[in-house]
Amino acid sequence: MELKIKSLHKSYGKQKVISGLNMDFSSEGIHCLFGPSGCGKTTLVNILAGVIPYDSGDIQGFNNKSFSYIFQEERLLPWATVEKNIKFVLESYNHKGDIDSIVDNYLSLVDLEEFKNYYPKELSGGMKQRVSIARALAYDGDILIMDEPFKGLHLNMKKTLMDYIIDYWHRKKGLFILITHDADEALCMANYIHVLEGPPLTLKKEIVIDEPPGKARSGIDKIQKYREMLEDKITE
Amino acid sequence: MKASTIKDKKSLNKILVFIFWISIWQLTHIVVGRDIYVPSPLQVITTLGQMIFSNVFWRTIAYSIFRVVAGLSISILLGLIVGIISALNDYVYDIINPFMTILKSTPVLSFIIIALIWFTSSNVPIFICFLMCFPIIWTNVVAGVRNVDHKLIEMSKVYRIKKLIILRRIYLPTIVPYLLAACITCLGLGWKVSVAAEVLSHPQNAIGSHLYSAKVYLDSSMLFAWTFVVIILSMLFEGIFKRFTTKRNMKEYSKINS
Ligand SMILES: Nc1ncnc2c1ncn2[C@@H]1O[C@H](COP(=O)(O)OP(=O)(O)OP(=O)(O)O)[C@@H](O)[C@H]1O
Ligand SMILES: [Mg+2]
Repeated sequence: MELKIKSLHKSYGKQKVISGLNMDFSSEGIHCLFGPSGCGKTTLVNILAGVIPYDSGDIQGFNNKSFSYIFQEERLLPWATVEKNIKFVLESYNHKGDIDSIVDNYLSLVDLEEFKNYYPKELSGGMKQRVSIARALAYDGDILIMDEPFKGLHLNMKKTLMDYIIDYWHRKKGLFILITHDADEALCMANYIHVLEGPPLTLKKEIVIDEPPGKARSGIDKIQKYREMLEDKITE
Repeated sequence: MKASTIKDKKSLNKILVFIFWISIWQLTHIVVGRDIYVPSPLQVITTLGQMIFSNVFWRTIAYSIFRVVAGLSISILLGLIVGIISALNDYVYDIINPFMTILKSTPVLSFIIIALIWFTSSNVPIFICFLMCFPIIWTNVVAGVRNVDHKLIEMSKVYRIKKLIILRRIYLPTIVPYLLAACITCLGLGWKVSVAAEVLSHPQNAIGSHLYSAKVYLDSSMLFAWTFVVIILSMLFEGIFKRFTTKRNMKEYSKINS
């Protein structure tokens, strides 16, 4: 399956955010976009998901895919309850019968069953983030995009969700895109780490991690080496 | 305890304000000294009392209410539909907008006179009420749609939500506060313009027709009494509307807490 970006350009006014970017997402796995704040990561995935237009270039293989997208902000309907917010993305295509159980499943995954009937304004930041995660997972699109999905989450919840997403990937395969500033998250979850710089967004380095994702990785020497590579990038 | 004494104080204040203005009225009546210019409060209340016990009064009110409700309902329905369409489509907006500007700045009387030629007398007030309220609803609905949160629209595009569901779950809730504000304005305006239209078209059962005969017979206390009825009806409408809309909000809230 070809999933490629060729000489992509995108500017906001005079500012070139993406200028002649080439990237390859064809290999199945969790692809991590790792780069400093403001370098253009969100802009890139927004273009891939078809949320914003691009100026020129070629994007192959993305246009007929459906996306589950955990946005950088929660983007919940303020006038709908937690339950209704998740149902909102399901009711266009799913059958009536199984929607309730899907919603309940994912709410229990993010530990929010008791808050089913709450409105977003009555939730904390991290709780809203969890609703947004539950919504994306419940939708079960072809490609999962996660833009800093674990920000504001407590350690245990973060671990649960990381494990869940890794497990979900093993069941589903295909392409997952994870944006993060956290080297640990990247090293724990990713099969491919694209180290980015910008703007304009450029690919600095690509790290391929052969080990299966998960906690077990942290002991491996190679991972320590990758960590140093990533952290060098940060302090640079 | 404290809350209830504050409430008592408030209603006492209201009664005092009421008595104050009635006294001003009575004083004006005495100073002017002629019933035909300013009838006394007592005269008006007596006239009102006599009116209330006739069948004609209630039938008149019923028909006038029907006209206002009809005019308002048509404006709200069309204002909502046309408003949403014109906010979403620039061409439609460009076509409709000058028409609305003209509607807003044309004197009501010009419309009433042409409507007298076009319609039967009973329908003129409905049409006029519609012409006056429709632009207000339309303007607010357009403003509401334009204020929609684009991040939510993007989100629903990513999740490939059907257009109708986007309309129902994102656009409508965004519009509601704008629409409610427009409705409150229109409730007051609707009564004023449809009674004015009734005065000129005098349908068989209409408050405006009674105002017209009060003018013909120079019966000022009749004029005041019917005017009073219009004010009460208009306030009643607004009160019921506000109660109804806040009750809905309350329901949403109680759902949260349960
Ligand atoms: N709607 C917009 N209009 C104008 N400029 C924008 C817009 N969105 C983003 N930018 C600019 O594009 C650049 C990249 O933004 P982007 O949101 O993609 O960064 P990011 O890598 O996701 O950063 P972060 O890690 O902080 O989320 C920034 O310099 C920003 O100023
Ligand atoms: Mg970002």
